[in-house]
Amino acid sequence: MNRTGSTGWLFQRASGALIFVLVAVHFALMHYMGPEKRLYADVARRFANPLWKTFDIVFLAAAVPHGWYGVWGIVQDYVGSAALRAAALVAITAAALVLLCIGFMTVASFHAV
Amino acid sequence: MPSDPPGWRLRRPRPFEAMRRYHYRWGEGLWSHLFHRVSGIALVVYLSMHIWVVHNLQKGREAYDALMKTLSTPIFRVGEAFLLAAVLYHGLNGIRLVAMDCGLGMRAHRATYWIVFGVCAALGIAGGVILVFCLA
Ligand code: HEM
Repeated sequence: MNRTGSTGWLFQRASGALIFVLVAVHFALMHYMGPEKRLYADVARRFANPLWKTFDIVFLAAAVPHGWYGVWGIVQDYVGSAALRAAALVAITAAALVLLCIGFMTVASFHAV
Repeated sequence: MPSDPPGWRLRRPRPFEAMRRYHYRWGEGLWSHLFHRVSGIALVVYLSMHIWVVHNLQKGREAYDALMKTLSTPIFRVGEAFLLAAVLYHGLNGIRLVAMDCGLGMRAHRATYWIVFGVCAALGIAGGVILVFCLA
């Protein structure tokens, strides 16, 4: 990230605004439009459409970095020691990358059985 | 003080020193920030579990549907209501923060905080009641 952190600051705001729209659609659909929406058959029907796959991947790519970059900001607020900060940065980056990979594989490699 | 890490000019502040030294004001600004932080952490924890759960799609139809049925039982619906509250507060307050960063509503920051809080409470309670009593 750049020296003053303004890139990350901007990213937090831009991704937040994007997530706001995506999470509204996602939450309404998955939690209120009927219990079958979260069952395998409905997931398979949505994932047959590449637009829904794109929706989920964009959501994932916005929310995971937003959340973990936020955690890094919190660490910077409370952790003074340079060594601990470095360790936290490594752990945060690793967690975000692992979750991005798992999520991406789930969506991209999905084929209905 | 032993050698300070680079970046700390004078010495490293002790934990929470700023709060005590500068008489941090316990007003709307502090609460809005604290709730934003707590809800953000809760959402990171939830999102991580969520990505792991959905990854079970790979195990096929029966296993996935059995898991989803468990996750639709009343106790998990109560959890969903808390998830709704966290995402409502964090999202609405996040939009409020972005608006203020754009210079919008700076003078009204107290009023907009209470608006966010009110909308969040109203939608959270209504949505939570539907989740727990109508869908569970
Ligand atoms: C619903 C739409 C969302 C909006 C509008 C939003 C907005 C924001 C904004 C503007 C910030 C920066 C606050 C600051 O710099 O003081 C932020 C921080 C943060 N967000 Fe979000 N966010 C959203 C969703 C999420 C989600 C889904 C997660 C979890 C994965 C999350 C986790 C966090 C965390 C951990 C922080 C750091 C909190 C702190 O520094 O106190 N946010 N959010």
